[in-house]
Amino acid sequence: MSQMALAHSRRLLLALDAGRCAPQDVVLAVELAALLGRELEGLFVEDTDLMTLARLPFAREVGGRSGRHRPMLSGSVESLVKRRVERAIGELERAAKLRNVPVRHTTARGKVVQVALAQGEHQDVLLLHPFVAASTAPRGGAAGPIMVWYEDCEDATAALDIGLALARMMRTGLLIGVPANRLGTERDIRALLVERIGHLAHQVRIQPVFGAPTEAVIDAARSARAAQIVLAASGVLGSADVLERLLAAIGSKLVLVR
Amino acid sequence: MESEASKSLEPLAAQQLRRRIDPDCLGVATTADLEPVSQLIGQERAVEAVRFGMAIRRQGYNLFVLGPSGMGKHTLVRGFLRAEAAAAPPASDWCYVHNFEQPDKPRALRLAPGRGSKLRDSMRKLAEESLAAITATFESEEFGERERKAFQALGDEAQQEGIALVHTPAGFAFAPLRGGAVINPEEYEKLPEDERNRISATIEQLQEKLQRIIRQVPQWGRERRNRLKELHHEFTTLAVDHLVAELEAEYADLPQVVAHLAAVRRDLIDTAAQPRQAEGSAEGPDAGGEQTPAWLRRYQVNLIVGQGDEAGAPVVIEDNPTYQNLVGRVEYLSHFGALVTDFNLIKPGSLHQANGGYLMIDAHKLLMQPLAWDALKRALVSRRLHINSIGQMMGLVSTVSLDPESIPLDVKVVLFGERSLYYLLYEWDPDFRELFKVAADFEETVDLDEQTLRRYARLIATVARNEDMLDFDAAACAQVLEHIVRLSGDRHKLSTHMQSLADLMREADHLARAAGRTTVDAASVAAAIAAQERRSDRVKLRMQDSIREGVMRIETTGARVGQVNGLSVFQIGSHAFGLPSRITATTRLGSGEVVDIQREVKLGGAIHSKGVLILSSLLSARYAREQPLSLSASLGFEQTYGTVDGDSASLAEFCVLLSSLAEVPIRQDFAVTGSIDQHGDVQAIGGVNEKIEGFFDVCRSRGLSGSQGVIVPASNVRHLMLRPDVVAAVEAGDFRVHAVATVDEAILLLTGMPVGVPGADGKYPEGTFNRRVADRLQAMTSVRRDFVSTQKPAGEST
Repeated sequence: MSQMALAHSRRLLLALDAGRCAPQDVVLAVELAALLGRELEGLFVEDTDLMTLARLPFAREVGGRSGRHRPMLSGSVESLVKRRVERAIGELERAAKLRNVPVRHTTARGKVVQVALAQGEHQDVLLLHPFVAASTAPRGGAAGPIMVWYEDCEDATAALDIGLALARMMRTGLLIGVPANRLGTERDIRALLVERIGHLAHQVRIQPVFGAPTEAVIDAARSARAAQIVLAASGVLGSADVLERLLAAIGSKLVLVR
Repeated sequence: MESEASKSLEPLAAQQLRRRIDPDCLGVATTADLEPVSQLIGQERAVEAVRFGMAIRRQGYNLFVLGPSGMGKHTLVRGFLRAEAAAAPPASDWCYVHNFEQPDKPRALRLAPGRGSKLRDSMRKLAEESLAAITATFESEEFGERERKAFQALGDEAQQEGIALVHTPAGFAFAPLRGGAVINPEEYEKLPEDERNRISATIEQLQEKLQRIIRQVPQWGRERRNRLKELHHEFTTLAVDHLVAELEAEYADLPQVVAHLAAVRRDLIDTAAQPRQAEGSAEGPDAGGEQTPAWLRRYQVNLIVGQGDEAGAPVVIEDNPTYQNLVGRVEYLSHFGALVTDFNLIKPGSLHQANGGYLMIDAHKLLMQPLAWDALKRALVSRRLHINSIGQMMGLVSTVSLDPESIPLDVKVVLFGERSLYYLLYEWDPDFRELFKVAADFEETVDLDEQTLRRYARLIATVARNEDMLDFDAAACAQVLEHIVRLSGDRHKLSTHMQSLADLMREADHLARAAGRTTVDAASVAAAIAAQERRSDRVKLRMQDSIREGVMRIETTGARVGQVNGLSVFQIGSHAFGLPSRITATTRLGSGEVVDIQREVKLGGAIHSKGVLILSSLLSARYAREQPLSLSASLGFEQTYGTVDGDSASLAEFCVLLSSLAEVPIRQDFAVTGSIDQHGDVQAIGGVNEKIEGFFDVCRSRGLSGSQGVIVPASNVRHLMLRPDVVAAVEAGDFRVHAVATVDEAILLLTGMPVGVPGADGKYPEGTFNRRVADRLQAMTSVRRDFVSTQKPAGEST
C-alpha cells in the first residue's frame, strides 16, 4: 500500500440519508477511517423532498416491506428521522472510540450527494450509501469485490490505493474497471499494482469496459456484484448527477476520492 | 624414612613440568597432507550409545546425550542421525481437514510421503473451480433484477407524470414535482383544483402499483431462491461432482480420504449451494493473505507435515522448544474485533515435523519453557500428538477454539544437556528414566598416545578444511595440541572440548591472515593463546598489582613463624587463574580446639572445614596420642573477603600450625598447595598449573631469586602442563617446583629442619622439628594440668 497516496486523504466524510440511516451503516466507515488514519465526520442529511412531502395534505407512504398505505405526518416523520440520526450517532461514537478514531458529526438538509459534495473539501474521502431500500437491495452484495474505476485523472492512484486497502480490509477481491479506449491505462495499473503488492494476485482483475462510462460501470459493478465502488472525484463519474445515478442503480456503497 | 624424604626434595626437572609435542611425530608438513576424520575422537562409548539408541525402535528408548557444552555432541549426533535418517523410509504426510459433522474437531489425514501436497493442491483446485463455477452461475442469473426493474419502471412512469418516487424512513411515497423538487404545501394549495385532483388520482394509482410490486417482492424472492437451489444442484452435479469423483478415484487406496471427499461432495450440494447471502460478508480467517470465501475454506487441506522432495526420515532440531513450538498450536485472527479460527490455522509443532524421524532438543532450554517438558513426556507416553491451546488449558481464553484430532506419534527424541541435569532428572522425575533409557555420555578427555596425536592432527585438518581456514603447519598443530593437553588438566590426556579447539584455530587463522601468512604457524597459535589470555586477565592483573604494591601482603623472601603462602584458584567466567594467599596460625594454651576463622565468620565452605578437621585429627594422632591436646589454635586466610572452599590448603594450614606451635619459621619464598589425610599423606588438588603460575607471576614481578618455588602434591605431577615461560625459568634455575608425598617432606622443605621419625620409645629424636612440636605440646599439657589443679576447691581430688 502506498502510504503516500493514502496520505492525501485528511478526512473521511460519511454521508448518510438521515431518514434511512441505520447504526450498522457507520461500522465500515469507522474501519475505513482507522485504516486510513483519518478523522471521521458523519454527515446526516435530511432529505428536503421528504420533509416537504410530509407537510403535503395528501402525504401517504407505502411500507417498504408490508406494502401497506399509511398517512405521513410531518411531526412524526421528523421525530422518526431524529431518532434514527441519534441512534446512528451513538453507534458512530461507540465504534470510533473502540477503534480510537477521532469523530465529529453534523446534520444538514438537502440531497445527500449534493450536500456531501458541497461540504466535502479537497483531499477528503467521501463514503456514500446507496438509495435502494432494504427490501430491494441485492442480497449478499457485500460478498463481492471492491471495484475501482480507474481513469486518467488526478486522484486515480489514490483511488486505486484506497480500493486495494479496502479489498484487504474486507478480505475480498479487487476489480479494476478501465476505459477500453485507453490502451496504456491497463499497463500503468499493472505497474502500479506490482509496485504496491509485489505481484498481481489472482484476486485482482482488470476489466476494460466499453461504451459510456456511467452505464459501463453500472453494468460491470452489477455483474461482479461489487461490494463498493471507489472513484476519483476528478474523473468523469465524479459529478453529483452521475453519482446519484450510480447509487440508485447499483446498490453498492461509493467511495469518492477527491 | 628421612632419606626417602630427602630424595623428593629435589625440584622437578623442566621436562616434568610440560609435555612437549614434537611436530615431527605428526609426520606431515601441514594439515593439507592429512586425511579428514569422520567422527569425534575418544567418544567410542558415546558413539556406541547413540548408535544403539537410534537402532532400537522401542518405546522409551529415547536418548539423552550428556556432557559439557562445546564437546561437539550436537555435531556428532546430528551427523549420525542424518546418516541414519537418510537410509530410513520417509515419514508420512499429515493434513488437517474440516470435520463436517463436528466442525470444532478437525480430522487428521495420514498420507504417503508427497501425497499430502498433491491432495492439498487438488482440493485447492476444487475450491477455485467451484468458486469460478458458482460465480459464473450467479453472474448469469439476473440476481434481483426483476425487483429493480419493477421499481425503475414505476419511478420512470411517475416521473413522466411529474411525480417523484421519494424514499421515506420506512418505505416509499409519491410527491408532485416543481422545478425538480417536491412542491411545497403553499404552492400546492395555489394549484387549480383540477390539477390537484389529477395529481391526487395519479398518486393514488402509482401507490396501488407500488403496493402490488412490494407485495410481489417476497414471492419473487421465493421464486428466485427456489430457482437458485435448482441451479446450484445442477451446478454441483455438473461442475463439482466430476471433480470430486476424479479425486475419489485418485485416492481410492485411502479410505479416510475417500470418506472426506464424500463429505465434501455432500456439503457442496447441501450447504455451499445455498444462496450466497447465507454466508453474508463473513470471510473466513485468512492467515496467508488469500481471499478465499469462508464457505470454500472448509474444503481446503491444511498440510501440516509434507515431506516434499527430501528423502529419508526427518531430522528436526528444535532450538526454541516452547510448548507451542513442540506440540503445535491453533492460531486465531482478529476479524472485526472477534477472534476466529478454523482448521486452516492449525500450525504444526516440531514433534509433528519430526514424526517418523528424530527430534533434537537442548534439555536446559526445554526445561526452561513452561509446560513444555510435561507436554513432551505426555506425547511420548501416549504416543499421540494432541494440540491443546495453553490459553484453553489455563482457562485464560474463552473464545471458541478447536480440538483437532490427535495423531499417532513415532519419534526418537534426543535431548542434550549437562551431566548434572541428567542425574537430577533421573533422580527426581520417574518418567524420565522410563522415557530416556539411553544415555550417551561424552568423555571430556582422551588418553594421549602417538596414535591419538595423529588422529587429533587429522581433526585439526578437518576443522581447518570445514571452516575454510589456512592450513596449519606441523609446529602450529603441535602448539594447538599442547594447548589441548593443558585444557585436559592432565599431561597424559587431550581435552575433547571441540569448541575450545575450534575457537583457538579460528583465532590463530585470523591472526595468520592478518599477518599475511599463507599457513598458520606456531607463532600465530601462540599469539592466539596469548590474546585469549589477555582478553580475560584484567582481574588477575589488578590483583597482582595489589600484591606488587603491597596492598595485599604476600612475602616472597625470608622466613616467618606461623605464616605460609597458600595458593588459590579464581574462576571468573571461563578464565581461571591462581594467586597466593597468606595463611597464618596462632597457638595458645587450650583444650584442643582448632578454630577455623573462615568457618566462624561463615566464609568457609564445607570442604574447607573438613580439611581443617582432618588436620586437627592428624595433629592429635601424631603428637598427642597419650595425652590430652592442650592447645587452642586459630587458622585464617589473611586479606580474603570472599568464601574459601576446598581442602587444597590443608597441607599449608597444617604446616603453618606446626610452625606456630614449634616456633620454627617457614620460608616465605615458597608457596604450598595440597590436601592431607589423617595419616599425613599429601593428596592431589585441582588447578595445579594455575596455582604455580600465580605464584610465579608474583615472584617474577619482584625479581626471581632462584630459591623461590612451589610445593605441590606428588600425585599432581602428571597434571603439570605449565606455561612455557615458567618452564623456561625452571630450566634456567630461576624457579623451582617441588613435589611432596607427605607432610614431613613439605615441612622439611619449608623449615629446612630435619623432621624426625619416632624411635622405638615412640619419641622423636632431639633437635628435630617433630620433637619440638611434641615437647611444646607436652609443656602445654603440664601447664594446663597445673592450672586446672590450682583452680579446684580444697579437698577435691583430681
